[in-house]
Amino acid sequence: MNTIGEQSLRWFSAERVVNEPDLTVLVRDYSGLLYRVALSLLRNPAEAEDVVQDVFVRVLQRKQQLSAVVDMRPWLVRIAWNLAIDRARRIRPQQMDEFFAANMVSGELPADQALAEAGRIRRVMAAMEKLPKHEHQALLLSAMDELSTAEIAAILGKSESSVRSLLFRARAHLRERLGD
Amino acid sequence: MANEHDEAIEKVLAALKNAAPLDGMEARIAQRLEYHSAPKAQSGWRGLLAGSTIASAWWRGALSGGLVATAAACSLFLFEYHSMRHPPAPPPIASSTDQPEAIPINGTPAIPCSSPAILRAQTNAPSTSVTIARGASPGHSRPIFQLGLTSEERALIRLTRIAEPHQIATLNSEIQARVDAADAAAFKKFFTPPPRPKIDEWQPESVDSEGTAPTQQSDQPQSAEQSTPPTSDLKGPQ
Repeated sequence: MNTIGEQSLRWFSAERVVNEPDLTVLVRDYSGLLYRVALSLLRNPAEAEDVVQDVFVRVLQRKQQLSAVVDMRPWLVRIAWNLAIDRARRIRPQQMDEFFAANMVSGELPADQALAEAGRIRRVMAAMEKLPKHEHQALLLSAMDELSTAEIAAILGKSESSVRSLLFRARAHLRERLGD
Repeated sequence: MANEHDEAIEKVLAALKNAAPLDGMEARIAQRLEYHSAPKAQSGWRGLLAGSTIASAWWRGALSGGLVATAAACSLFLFEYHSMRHPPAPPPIASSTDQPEAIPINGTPAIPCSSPAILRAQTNAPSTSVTIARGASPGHSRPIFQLGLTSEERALIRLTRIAEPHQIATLNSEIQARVDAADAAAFKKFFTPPPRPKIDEWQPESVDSEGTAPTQQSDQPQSAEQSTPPTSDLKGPQ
């Protein structure tokens, strides 16, 4: 993981010197985004929060190098993304899909409709899980409004055109699987 | 139908986009950051020992390890030195002069033993009249090992407590020899081999054509008359 952070630093390093950012400000501005990014992969609120804490601990350990980071948002999201991928290998997020789907359903719906709605959401999440890895990741990151295509490309280590192609293919595959 | 699927996909993505973190998340993050940053801020000497990275602090680790090893070696040396200078006092060994007071024998003066393992009894005195040791009496619960006796002495004292008088008497070598001789005689008498049968009483089973009985093979020398049986009884009609 350390090499990924250092790689990001080299990627985003600029000639101009930026003042060392305050950690408190970083937590306030980016903790929500990082939480949603981790939650999209893990579907577990407690695990997602652990990932966010780990991200800022690593930032604290590299506090002296923060001035070299040009764009903080994709750098932080990339750290959170990789930490969430590592954690997802251990906890098997599919186990939380039922709970996650139930929370997505509106409480105003009647019970039978809520049950049907939760079932449909679970099917969508299972289909998303079965997508090819890069398509799945691009689709999840695209859900975050704060991230542009260029930033998603930087996080995934691909070009913008590749990211657009991945998003198109991901939606097409999802329609095929859900239509079956 | 495709619209419903798109709708479901957008719903899921929207839920992921709008997910709110747990209450108090920022405060917990701040707490954890404070925990990670606090030790370094309070004591600078920890940074000297720990180092920022492992690569740069190897010599610090080696130095601290060497100091610990040196301290352990010094403490061990001091302990050994102190033990050599002040050895523990040996346990008190009961001397022969103390024995008579500890083990008086009823009716006769105690004979000092050249070998403390052998207890010589002058008479077949009952065990109850024998004082075993100072402060120890039959039924007394004080352990014997307090007197510093050897294992043989402790065994003998225990024997005097629990054994019968005739068993104690066998400790005397003369009495033991007499008992052994009596046992050997009884054994010999019981297992005396039966007397060897005489030749006249013995009927040979196989006789050769000339009517002579096979010669006996024995260790005892036989006279010429006894070696061959009389042939007049064995010859047939001629």
